[in-house]
Amino acid sequence: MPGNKESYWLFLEPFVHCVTAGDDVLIYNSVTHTVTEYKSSPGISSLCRDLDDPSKGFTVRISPGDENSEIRDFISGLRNSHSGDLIRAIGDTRPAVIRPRPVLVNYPPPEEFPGFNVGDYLKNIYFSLNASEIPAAHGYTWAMYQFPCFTYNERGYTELAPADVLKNYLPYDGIPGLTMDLTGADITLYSRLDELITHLKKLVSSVVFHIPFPCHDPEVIEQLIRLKNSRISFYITLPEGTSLLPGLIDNPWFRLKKSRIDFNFIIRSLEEYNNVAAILSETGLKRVFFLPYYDKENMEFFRENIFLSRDDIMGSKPGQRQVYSRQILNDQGFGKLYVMPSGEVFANMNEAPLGNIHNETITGLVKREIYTGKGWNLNRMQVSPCSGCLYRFLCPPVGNYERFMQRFNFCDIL
Amino acid sequence: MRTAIPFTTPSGYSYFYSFHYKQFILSHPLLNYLISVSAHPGHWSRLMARARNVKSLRIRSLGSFSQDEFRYYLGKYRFYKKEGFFKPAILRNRKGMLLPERIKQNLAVTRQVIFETTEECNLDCVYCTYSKFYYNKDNREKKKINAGDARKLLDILLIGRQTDLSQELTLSFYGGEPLRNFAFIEDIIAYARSVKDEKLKLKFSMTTNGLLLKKYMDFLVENDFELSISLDGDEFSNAFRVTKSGHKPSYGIVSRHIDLLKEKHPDYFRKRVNFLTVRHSRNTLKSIHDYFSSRYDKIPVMSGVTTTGLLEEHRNEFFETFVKQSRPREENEGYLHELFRKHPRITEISEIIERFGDFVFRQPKQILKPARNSIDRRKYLPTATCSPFDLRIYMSADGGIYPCEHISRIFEVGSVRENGIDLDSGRISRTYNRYFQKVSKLCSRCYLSEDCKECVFNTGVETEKLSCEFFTDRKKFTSHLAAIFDYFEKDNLLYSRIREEAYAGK
Repeated sequence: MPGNKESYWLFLEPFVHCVTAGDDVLIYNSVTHTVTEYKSSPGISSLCRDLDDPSKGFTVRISPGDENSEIRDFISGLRNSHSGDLIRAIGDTRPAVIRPRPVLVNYPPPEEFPGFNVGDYLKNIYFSLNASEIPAAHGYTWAMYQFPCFTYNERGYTELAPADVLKNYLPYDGIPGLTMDLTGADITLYSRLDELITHLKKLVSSVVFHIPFPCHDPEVIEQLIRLKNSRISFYITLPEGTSLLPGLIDNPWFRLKKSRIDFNFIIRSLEEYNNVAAILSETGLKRVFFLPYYDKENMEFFRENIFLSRDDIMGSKPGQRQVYSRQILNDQGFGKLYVMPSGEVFANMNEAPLGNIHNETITGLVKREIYTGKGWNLNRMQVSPCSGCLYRFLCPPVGNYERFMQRFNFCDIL
Repeated sequence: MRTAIPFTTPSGYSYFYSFHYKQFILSHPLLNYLISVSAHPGHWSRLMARARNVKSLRIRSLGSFSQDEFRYYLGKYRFYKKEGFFKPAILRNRKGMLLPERIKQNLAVTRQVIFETTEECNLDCVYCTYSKFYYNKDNREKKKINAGDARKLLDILLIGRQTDLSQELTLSFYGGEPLRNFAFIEDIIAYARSVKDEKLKLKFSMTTNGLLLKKYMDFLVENDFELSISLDGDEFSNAFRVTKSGHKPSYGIVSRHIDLLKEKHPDYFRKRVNFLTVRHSRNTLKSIHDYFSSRYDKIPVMSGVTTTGLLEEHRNEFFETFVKQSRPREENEGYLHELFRKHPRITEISEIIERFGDFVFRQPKQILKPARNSIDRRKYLPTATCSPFDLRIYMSADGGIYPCEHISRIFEVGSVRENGIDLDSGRISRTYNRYFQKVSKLCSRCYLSEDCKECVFNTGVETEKLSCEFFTDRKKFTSHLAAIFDYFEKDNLLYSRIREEAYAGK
């Protein structure tokens, strides 16, 4: 630290985020991805509040020698980690510091906003082609609230007409970054799949098929993966799914298209995880994901294996944009719509329906979600106890598991 | 290559801008010096050798630095370098082509159709772009738009319309003075209402000089027109706006009509009326602000006199008459906080901060993308030219079709005349692509090209010499940044206010 008696302006670098909660402070450097925490330090907490205070120009005047040892060490720490610095004061003029605070313009857009474009908001439209009791029969009644497959309907088998899919998607086909997702209880059971495929061939957008495995008719899969711009996401249930897996990956088409196929293994316990891990070492599959399934009885499994630790949170190394987006939106759920066979539309399956495609347009439903919904925007500032956590902007966004369980501190921090 | 730009404000504080991180960083003079010297390997080696051998390093124009200070900032320089702060900007591929299909799609969702109802105007504003000062001085034949032809254009827009994507269409009336052909306005509105799709919402807008406002105000109110009235301020400020017959000041009549509109329809006036003001030698930001806020409780939309398309023989007279201030110049720099978003300085600062700061997002999807390390393989079009007909389509009184009402008549892209509609998307795309190819050479050297605000039609693209009012090289860009940060230093709350207020509703 400079040693003479001149005064200096202390400031935080624009890539450094400062979060305070009571007398606790967290400094996150989004370039080096390092976190420094100061617990029960009223002096440092007060200083950091000033450094983030627009009315103080995000700077604090420091005269070296006047500060106490705690503050001195704090400043040295900032300088040594290149998270902040001291600049010699020139007269009474404060230097200008740009602090990282995101502005999402016109969100939500003003009523009657002439520049409203639905393409600025939509990322995925999930159409559940069918729904039935099948998921319940296999023990996955609640799956559709956690991931986009196994659409459940306790009242029996229903289907969404191809015309309802096309009428509601075609006006938006070609929007950059928009994907059509086709899912359901088991789309290989869908009675009008051939008819729908004929139309899908003309789409500009990518299409992702979400298919449980084992499924009713594995023969259909080759037809789906051969469509241009298509991907397949398998949801593999144990033990049948893993036992039938070798038969699936032995197909000649699989070798050609494997880069476009994801394998999501649904696990409910550590034992299931270990079984899958053992099988995977033999298959050499690449695009493999584990999806924990909460069946309302396996909280212990979640607590011990799924809950995040401080290291898990830091391991994701959120960049500046992620820290920004997590202050405003739910970056996991934003832009997704789920259309049920009944025509009901959800922005998130754990929230109330937005409306129905049989009497409203997708644009109208998107507007409703933007103005009144909770599906796309629920962030950690809005849920307890996360809103008071130092890690609230670094933690992954509120996920479906948390919404389904109505428990938002999915971690061992609070 | 656009690498980090060090700059210093008049007060003496140093900063640098990192293109790679899109961040403005308060810096130390020594750090900025190291950034500058690093571009010259010979100088860098000599500096390092000198620094090793002395306890205190003296750098001309900066002063002396202790060995500790030098080491610290050398370490910081290396940190920034290692983390990529000095990496060059990754520029977008600007070799994109406008495809005919895009033009067809745009026509199906266009938001506004603007009709030049008549070429005739009952004013003879001295600075008008059809006055003696400009290339396109008024040789027009005072034509009125043909209602049948306008209906044909409207048919195309309404029949092929994708109402799911674009539920509003604004019919706008422009001139000349649009109210000089009121019959057409009545006719086309009735026609549009008779053929529109039930999902479509029709809206109306008009730009008028106000001379005929008294006669037609009830119609405008009944149809909820968004009304823009051209007025330059008080009587002194408005003196360039004179009547065609007798060159008499128009202020008295126009202000009486506006007062009447305000009195008869106060709600409408408050919600739907705004003013368009040309800034010139007889008004200032202060006079404009004082006049409109006290008299009408409004702040007008301001623009300068047009300085492109001037005839060389009249250029000096033009600048002497319309640009040279007759009021104290400092009045323009005042009123920053009062006018705020409408103050040109705030507009300029907020645009630069938005373009280069990476914290202002116009679309939610934008904030969800990683800032760096994602390779954007898309091809973009150069300049900020609107995709033709995406926002609007303009039909002139003589049946010409243009992408917008603000561009020169030499850029007619189609027509609706007695022999039918000529709107060939293939030809339009070829014309645009030729212009884009030509202008891209200039853009490749411009520091503002990544977020350009200029339209290709304003760059002299059909003339021998391309020019762009906003062209910014490294030197000019550095000066811009220094000037902006000078404002922030003088007013520590300015940045926060810009962040809070300048972007909303735009």
